[in-house]
Amino acid sequence: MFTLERRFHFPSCSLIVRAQRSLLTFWRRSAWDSSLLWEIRFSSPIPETEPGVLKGDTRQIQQLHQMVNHYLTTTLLAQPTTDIPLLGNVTKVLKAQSPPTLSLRGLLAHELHCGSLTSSQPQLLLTATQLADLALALDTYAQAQAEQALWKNTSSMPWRPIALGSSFLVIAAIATGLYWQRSRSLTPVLSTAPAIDAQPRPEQAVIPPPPIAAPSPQPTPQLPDALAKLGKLNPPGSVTVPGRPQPPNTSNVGIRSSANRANSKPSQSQQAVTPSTSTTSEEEFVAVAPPAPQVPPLPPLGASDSIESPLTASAEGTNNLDVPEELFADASAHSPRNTPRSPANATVPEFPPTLPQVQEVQQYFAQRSPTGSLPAAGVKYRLTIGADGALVRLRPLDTASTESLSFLAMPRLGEPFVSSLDNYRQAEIQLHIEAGGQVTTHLKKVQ
Amino acid sequence: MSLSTDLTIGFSRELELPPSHEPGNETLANIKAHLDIVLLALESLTGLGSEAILEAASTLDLQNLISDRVSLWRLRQANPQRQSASGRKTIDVTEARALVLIVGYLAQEHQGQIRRAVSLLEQMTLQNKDPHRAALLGDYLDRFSNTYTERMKTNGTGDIQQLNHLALKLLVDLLFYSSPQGARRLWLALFDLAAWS
Repeated sequence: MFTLERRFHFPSCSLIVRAQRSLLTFWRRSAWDSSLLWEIRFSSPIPETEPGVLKGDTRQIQQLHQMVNHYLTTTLLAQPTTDIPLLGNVTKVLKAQSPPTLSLRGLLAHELHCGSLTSSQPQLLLTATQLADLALALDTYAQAQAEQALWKNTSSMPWRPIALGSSFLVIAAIATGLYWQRSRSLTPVLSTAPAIDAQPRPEQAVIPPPPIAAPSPQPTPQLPDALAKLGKLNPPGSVTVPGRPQPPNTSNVGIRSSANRANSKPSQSQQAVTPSTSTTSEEEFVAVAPPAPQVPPLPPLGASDSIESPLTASAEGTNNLDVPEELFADASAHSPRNTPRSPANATVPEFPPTLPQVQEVQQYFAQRSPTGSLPAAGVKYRLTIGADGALVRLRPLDTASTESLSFLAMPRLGEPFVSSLDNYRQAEIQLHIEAGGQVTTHLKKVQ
Repeated sequence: MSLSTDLTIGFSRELELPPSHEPGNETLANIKAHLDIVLLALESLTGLGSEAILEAASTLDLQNLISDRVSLWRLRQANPQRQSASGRKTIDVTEARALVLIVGYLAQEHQGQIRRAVSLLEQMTLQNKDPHRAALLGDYLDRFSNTYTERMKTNGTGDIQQLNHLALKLLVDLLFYSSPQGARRLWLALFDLAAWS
């Protein structure tokens, strides 16, 4: 059984329509309507009254719809305008043919006598807006029912494929059952040939494998007495046998099995295929796993560090480095990643190179605070330091930095202000002084 | 499908004369009067004018009946309660039906505002407060009273209390006319109302 549900929402009430369906009545729309149940919930009732709920079946919702329409057109809207107070006692009771009924308690209040309807209260007091929404809900339901669109949207509901699938399964099960019954009815015909049926079919006959004979000790041949008395001849000299080509190293290579060799350690030649002229039957060959390939042992873990990166190589080959900025940490925070880990790199300049001058430049400007206010974004300069630690060149990186140059205690050109460079002729250091005075330096280039 | 197309198809299909309701002259006169004051209430609440009514007529394909301001003015002047009414124009069923369609269309277009006003009225009534204290209702009541007094013969019905009550009754009616079935309800109620009157 499936329960279909359709909800209509209005500002002050909701209409919920449900229909119960089974697989057998699924395709009959009339059966849907006959099993229909509805419920109206008023969501914003008049204060001091409980929320009203109305329930009923198909006949009752049609009855309620007719009654509300009749009430509106003949009682409320057709009343002489000055006869009805806004709120008052019951002035006119609709003489409906059957319950439920509506009675006027003023322009803004209407009393619904539920009668045969299932309701939370025998009488519901509806406001004008609630009555309008009730009429709209009933109109909507009636229109959907008239256009057969009440369950139209439910065609896309997820239960529908399930129902279709279930129906298909049931039909398939019935068809299978019928086919099985039919096949059983043919069985006596087949059983009239018991002699044929009793014999195993050739393809079904299982031939047991022949038992493997246990190796028996070979009898030692005894020479005749005449021969035994003769002297033993020396064996001929050895003959050089041409080298046998090595078989391809593939899997499932058969080797000759032997009871004597089973416990012996096989050599490389024994693992090769050695077809014998006297022993060519399959029973004498067994499958063995291919020998493990000879892989040279892995170098120790530290050895991989000795592989030089192209950057390191270029650092060795040239002395001029243009270094991306992101490769450099701040001068105040050098990462151990930048320190070489291999002894092979110990003689090579570090990459990225760690220059103490970067830190010295940072300390130089950190100790000398600007004399004026710097722009909010700070100032940026590119300082070129010579081998003797003197300022060779100063390049502001933007206009604000040019204008703020006078606020900074820049070292004089040609005068050393940091320690001399050991391995390089020049180093370019980028200087960034923030508005708060924080100084950051980066190494940009070395020569 | 657009709202206007829905309305055009729905309205033209539904508004047939109720059986055994062949209106006489008196009934037609009452229908004229009621339709005119329903339009007056709608104008007072939403502030729409004759331009909106003409647009609605165009949307509903009623241009052959209400083509311009003059024809609209003549139609509304058919209300016998109008001060300037002198029986110069008698409304027929077709014209009444056109006005019903227009009222239903415009009410549905302004359903939100109508619903807000009615909800406000319910709150004020439950709190025993004067509806005038709510801006939306106060403006509506004032505009309705002024326009009604300006256009209609009072004949002793100029009591402000009665006018306010009439305005509030029409406001609640507009709520029911603003539903998709509103024009049909107005059409059916008109005949009962005319008979009642």
